[in-house]
Amino acid sequence: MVFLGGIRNIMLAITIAAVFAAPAFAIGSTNYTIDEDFIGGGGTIDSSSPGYSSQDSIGATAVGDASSTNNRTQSGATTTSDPMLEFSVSTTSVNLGSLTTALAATGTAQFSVRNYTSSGYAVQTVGSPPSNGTHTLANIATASASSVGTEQFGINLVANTSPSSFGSNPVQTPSADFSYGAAQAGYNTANLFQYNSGDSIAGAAQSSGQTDYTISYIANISSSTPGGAYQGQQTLVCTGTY
Amino acid sequence: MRLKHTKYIQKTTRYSLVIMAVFFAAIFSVPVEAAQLTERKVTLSSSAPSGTSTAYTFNFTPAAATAIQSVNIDFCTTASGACDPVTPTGVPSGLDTTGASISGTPSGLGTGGTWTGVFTTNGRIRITNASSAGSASAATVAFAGITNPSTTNTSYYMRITTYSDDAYTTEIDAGTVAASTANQITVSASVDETLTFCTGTSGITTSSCAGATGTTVGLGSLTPSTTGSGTSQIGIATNAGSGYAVTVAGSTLTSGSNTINAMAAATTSSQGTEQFGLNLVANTTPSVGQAPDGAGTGTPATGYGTADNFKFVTGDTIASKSSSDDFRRYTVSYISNVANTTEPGSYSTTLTYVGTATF
Repeated sequence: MVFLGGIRNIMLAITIAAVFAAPAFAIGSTNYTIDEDFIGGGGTIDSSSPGYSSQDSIGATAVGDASSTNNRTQSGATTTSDPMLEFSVSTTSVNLGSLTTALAATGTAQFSVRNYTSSGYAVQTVGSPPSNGTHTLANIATASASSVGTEQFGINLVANTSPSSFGSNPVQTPSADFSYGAAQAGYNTANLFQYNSGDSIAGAAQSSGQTDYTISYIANISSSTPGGAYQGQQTLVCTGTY
Repeated sequence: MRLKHTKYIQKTTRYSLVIMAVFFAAIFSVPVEAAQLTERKVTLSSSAPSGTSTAYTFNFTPAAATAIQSVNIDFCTTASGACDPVTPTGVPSGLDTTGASISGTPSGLGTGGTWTGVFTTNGRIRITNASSAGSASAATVAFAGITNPSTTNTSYYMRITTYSDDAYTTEIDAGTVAASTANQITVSASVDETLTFCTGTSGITTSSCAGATGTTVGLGSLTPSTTGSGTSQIGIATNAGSGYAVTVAGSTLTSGSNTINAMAAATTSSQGTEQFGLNLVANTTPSVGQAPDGAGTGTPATGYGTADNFKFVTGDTIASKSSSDDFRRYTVSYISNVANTTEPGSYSTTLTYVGTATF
């Protein structure tokens, strides 16, 4: 009786453990996969009001991402199997002012990305440098410093001190434990600027919470840069891989 | 009592086994629905709200190697839940897929046959190929001519389903990808129009007019056996998109009612013949002048750019550039010859140079 009672207790314990201790991330083997699962005390996704928004979990003892060579987990009480991409460009115009051969012009714009259940994302910039209709400002093809008197148009996504203090490094929200977005090579070094249409300027290699980016623009002209009003449309395209 | 208790134990054990069997059956049973497309994404050529002629390139890896004969992609406002382009329900506002077309040749879906598209229902794009055979692998399917949803900074989703038949009936795999419209950023700036232009007899450097000075060029005492010569300078730079032109205006050398013949066509210096002319290059006969220099690339005009050939026609363009140009310094070389019959006197003229930029 004692032996059978022990078996019964062990089996019940296994059952209870299996029911209440299921991890909140994808599980798989050759024959099955659980992409996302939720078993636990409570949680909600994307609660919001005009004043706040959040992804909530209740009762999780450990949340966030963890990874090894072959596995990556997203731990927490609440997950969703739906892909999610939030991509917002909050700046619609950047005026660099009157360009001169004596001073670099600067400006900034902001965008943010949050991407879930993905293998990461990439943000590309698409569009030509500003043009006056017949002449387009020369893009900086490889990351270079601002050079007054040389025609240049470039951007980066970090805080700079030259030609002036402007711009900002990517800001992880709520923290670097959940968000992993980063400026890409060519656009991630202070005081060095680059612009090539189609370049990937920002991205994350994994599912990421919100990252707020600041684009820093610089423009210089030479004495032969044609006069006129210059304008260019920059389109940012965010692609998530799921 | 012992027998009854043993039966109780056997009964509870059976219950536990049944519970476990049900639990593990629930956990490990093979799902009958479609498997998940992996490594799936959609790349847009533009995220501009209402952006027309936008290209959408879908990439995905099928879970099954079964050849795909049709693919259905629905555009939805949500990743899951109600969405039916036919109704239509849940289709992003402003989206227009009815003008779409297949871009290039779909790959990875199978081999053989030709893919054709069906774009009659807004929000649903379909391709089919009854001859597709072999194995499916990492796939790429691209479309052109789609108008993006009109709401800015808004996510939308594309639900992809693959089928083993060409009638969108026998489902193989499925998966959803997300995209988002986003504000375009207009980057603007202005560049003031500039024209730097100066003349002088000295002091103009290869980069500046700052030191320009002098207004008189003396050609000396002219005889039938000598050639009088002298130089002046012009400096010019402009950011005019269509460049600049420098013209010269004035009369030939004059003394009262007497004149020295101007060189109407580019000609070499000829002592004993009345001549007055100029050019903008370095010469050896006579030895006078120098080539244009400076960072600019403007050039002397025809008739004024050949060594040892001189010309003077009032109103002529003597130098130009067809686009904006950095500072350019021109050296004007003047020559004059007289004949035995040339009337004596003090000959002079005032030449006016005009720099005109076209913006």
